[in-house]
Amino acid sequence: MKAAENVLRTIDLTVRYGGVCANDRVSIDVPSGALVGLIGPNGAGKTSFVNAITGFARCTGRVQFAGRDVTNEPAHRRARLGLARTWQSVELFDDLSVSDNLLVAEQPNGFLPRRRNRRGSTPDISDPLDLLGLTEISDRMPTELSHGKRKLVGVARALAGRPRLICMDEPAAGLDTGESIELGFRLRRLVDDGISILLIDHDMGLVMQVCDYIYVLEFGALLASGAPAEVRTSESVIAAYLGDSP
Amino acid sequence: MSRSRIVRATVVAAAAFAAVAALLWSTDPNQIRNLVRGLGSGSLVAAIALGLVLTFRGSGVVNFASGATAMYVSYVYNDLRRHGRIFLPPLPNPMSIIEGIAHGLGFDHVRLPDVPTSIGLGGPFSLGLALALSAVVSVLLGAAFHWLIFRPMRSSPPLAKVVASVGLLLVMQAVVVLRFTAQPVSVKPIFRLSAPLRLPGGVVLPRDQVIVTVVVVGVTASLWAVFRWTRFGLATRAATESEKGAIVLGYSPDRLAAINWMLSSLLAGLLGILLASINSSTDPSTVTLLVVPALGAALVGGFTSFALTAAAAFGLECVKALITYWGTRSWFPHSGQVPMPGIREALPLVVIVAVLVLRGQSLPTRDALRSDRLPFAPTPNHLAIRTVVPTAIAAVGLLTLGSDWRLAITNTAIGAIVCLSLVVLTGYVGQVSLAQMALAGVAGFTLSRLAVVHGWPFPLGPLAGASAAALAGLLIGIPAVRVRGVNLAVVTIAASLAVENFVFKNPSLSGGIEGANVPPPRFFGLKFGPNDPASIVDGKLPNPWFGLFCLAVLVGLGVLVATIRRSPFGRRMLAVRCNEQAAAASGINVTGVKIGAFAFSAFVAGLGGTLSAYRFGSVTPENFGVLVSLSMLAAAYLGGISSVTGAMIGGFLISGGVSATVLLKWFHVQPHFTTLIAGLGLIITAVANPDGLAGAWRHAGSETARLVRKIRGGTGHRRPVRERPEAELVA
Repeated sequence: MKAAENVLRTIDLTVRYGGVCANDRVSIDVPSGALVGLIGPNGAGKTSFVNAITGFARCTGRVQFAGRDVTNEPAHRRARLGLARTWQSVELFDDLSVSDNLLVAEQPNGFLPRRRNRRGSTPDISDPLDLLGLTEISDRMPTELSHGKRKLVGVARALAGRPRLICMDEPAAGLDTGESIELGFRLRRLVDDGISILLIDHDMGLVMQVCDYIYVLEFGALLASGAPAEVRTSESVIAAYLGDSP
Repeated sequence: MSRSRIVRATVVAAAAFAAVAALLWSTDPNQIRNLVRGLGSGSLVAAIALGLVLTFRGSGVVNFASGATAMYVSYVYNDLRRHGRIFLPPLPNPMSIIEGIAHGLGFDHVRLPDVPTSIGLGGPFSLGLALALSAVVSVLLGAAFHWLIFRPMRSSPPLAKVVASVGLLLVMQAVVVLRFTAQPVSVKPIFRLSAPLRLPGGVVLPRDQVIVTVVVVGVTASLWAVFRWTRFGLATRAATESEKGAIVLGYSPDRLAAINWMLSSLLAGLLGILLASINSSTDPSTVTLLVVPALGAALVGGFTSFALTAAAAFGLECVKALITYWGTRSWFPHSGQVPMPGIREALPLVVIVAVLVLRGQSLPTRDALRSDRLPFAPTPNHLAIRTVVPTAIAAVGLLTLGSDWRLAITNTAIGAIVCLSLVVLTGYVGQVSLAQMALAGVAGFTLSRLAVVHGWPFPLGPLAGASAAALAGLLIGIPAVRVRGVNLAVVTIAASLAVENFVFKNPSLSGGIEGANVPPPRFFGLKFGPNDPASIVDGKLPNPWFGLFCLAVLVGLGVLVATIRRSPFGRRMLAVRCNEQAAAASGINVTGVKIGAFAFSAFVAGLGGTLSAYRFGSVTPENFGVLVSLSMLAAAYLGGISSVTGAMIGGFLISGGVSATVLLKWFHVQPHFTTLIAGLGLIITAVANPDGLAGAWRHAGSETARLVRKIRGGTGHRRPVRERPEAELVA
């Protein structure tokens, strides 16, 4: 794959916490407009990898985003360049309404509000609200919502910043099977709209079903990678991961 | 920490200590002779700091009122020892309200009985009995603090707990000032002064200081042993790590917290008595403010290690004594004839900032069962009507009422401006500042100097003063990039003390202790200083134009702050307050928002400071001291820390404000009570109603609206003003 086609590329990304090596020289590519999965057993270093990519953990190696080296950029600059993320623990702004949560991400700098359209709502956040079916509850406070809805608000907030890539840390954790399938559909629609996704999840059904390409982490290092069908049949992956979870 | 590391650290520390001591001795033996003079105050700081560690380990509260407890108990002891009585807190006499109304109706001869000021226990007490009773009082105080204040607040955010302990400090201080005035009182020494201990090399130690030092070292060792080897210590350590875990194992974190509170309060109280005896006197503010170096020492000990904490406290006070000695040398920087003031007082700030920067991480946060959020910050709406109506009422008041009320409204406007600065910083961005009046003072002193020395005219002087405050705010804001919550409160209170001593009391930078003049404002021939004779209204002072000017500044800033709250920047401030990580992930420059908020808030406080300077015609250190900053936070929090309306209500509550005048003129409650009432109100607000009076107002408003809808035949659905998550006791 050529670099220009990759929205994200990591080269020998290494994260250390004290003496523990959470990620050991991990190099991956996320092509533009693709849905790439990252799987691995608990403690494989998935979340620390996402933290490193998005600027929340110190790392060595290189992170290239949209053809630019962002290794030394702080988290908020990466976000403004179009590298969004969601959190396993949702992390909404609980004192702001759902629409304000999105508006914060939609306009992370500047002092004056952007011009609003005639209907009174800002057009820039109506798309993510629509896409995730949140328009009805846009005036509610996050604390009033169910866990599933809160997760969707988290995704909508990431979308509001008009990202090129979203790193999703376990978006399906805590969702039931129906909600998880629903989420899968929505993710595919995002990709169809031209947004790339790096999906980290435990839900093998979801990952195998929606991803174009999958990386497998074990003990902080890359174990295997390939299309879902290849990964499913790879013996080392089965031994490390799939075999343990019937 | 492993045993070998502890041994190694101890050896290194001892070697370093010996090396420094040898160096000091070889250059000038007097340095050592003076250094040991710090042991006495070092003991007290150590005792307060140990109490801080105990309460933090036991309940997760950083108790700013720790020094105040020591001070309070020393007064209890002294009263028992001298007069054999227990003084009562001077609660406002409920009868005085009836009296006030009766007097208002013309029954001037009505005299109702007063509340007793003390309970006589018959004659002066012997030493042992007085000590024992004081110990009982200390324990009761600790128990009351836990059960009445901090237990109900166990799920409150750290800011609310800081605020409650600040309220406690203010209350204890106010009670003592009201009973015994702010002047020092003399205390009967416990020890008969025998010949001081003479060590080789001409080192002389007063025997009482030796005794206190030995006592504190003994207490430190026993606390360490208790926490290391007893079941109680183990349980407290477990509860500090995880309350849930402790509950699962069958311990009650609540009872552990209570015991730790009582222990720490006993410790502070007894050492307060010992120090009062050594100094033969006690006063309401010296010991109270020793909590600042104690916080520094506790931070060195990470709020966990008793030995490190005590060592740091002794070290800090000994270095202070050394600096005092250096002040007598010719090479020491001098300001005029006197040694440069404030260097000693700046030491805790240096230690605190150094520790926080070196450690990088903030205090360990307690893994509590659940935690509430900061007070709700509503989006201000109906801005026009909510601005015009109160402004019109205040303006009419200024133009029709007598001079007392005019002064009260002017004071209220100035106070509300400072409260507004706290709303931006603490209410919107969640950064606590206990240095707001110090920042206001920076502006006031800058204005004075620019106007007197350089002759800067009216609008430039105050604006330059406020800009200087903004710069100072920026400096204080820099640690806030890494330092959060309670730690930030510690940094800002130390900064406030340092600025007060280093800048305000420094003759070469400002007027020194006497303060400095501020010429009245002039603008194209308009004279609107508070003491300029006025031609309008009753012609008396203060000049109503000055009040109108303060009101105009307040209205302008209020509208500005409300507009900012509604702007994208306002949303961003709240986002940072809620969740810094998620804010950064949404593209917000968290550092920029924090620093910007600090600078803007300091600018607003600075404008308040310059108005206050004009109001008094001078600037003095007392007007901008730490305790004034704390009262200001009390007023702002009581009014409602997270809304512009709250700041306005806060302005009413400051001393000299409208509500103090109402109390005085209608109910004959003396203005001295303002601090006491503010402190009590602060505690009650923090415990029961974190949204403040403005929040209570809002709740009442929405309930009324619901009622109206219901009466009209609507459904009367309750619109949640603020949804609180139900208690989740997962354990």
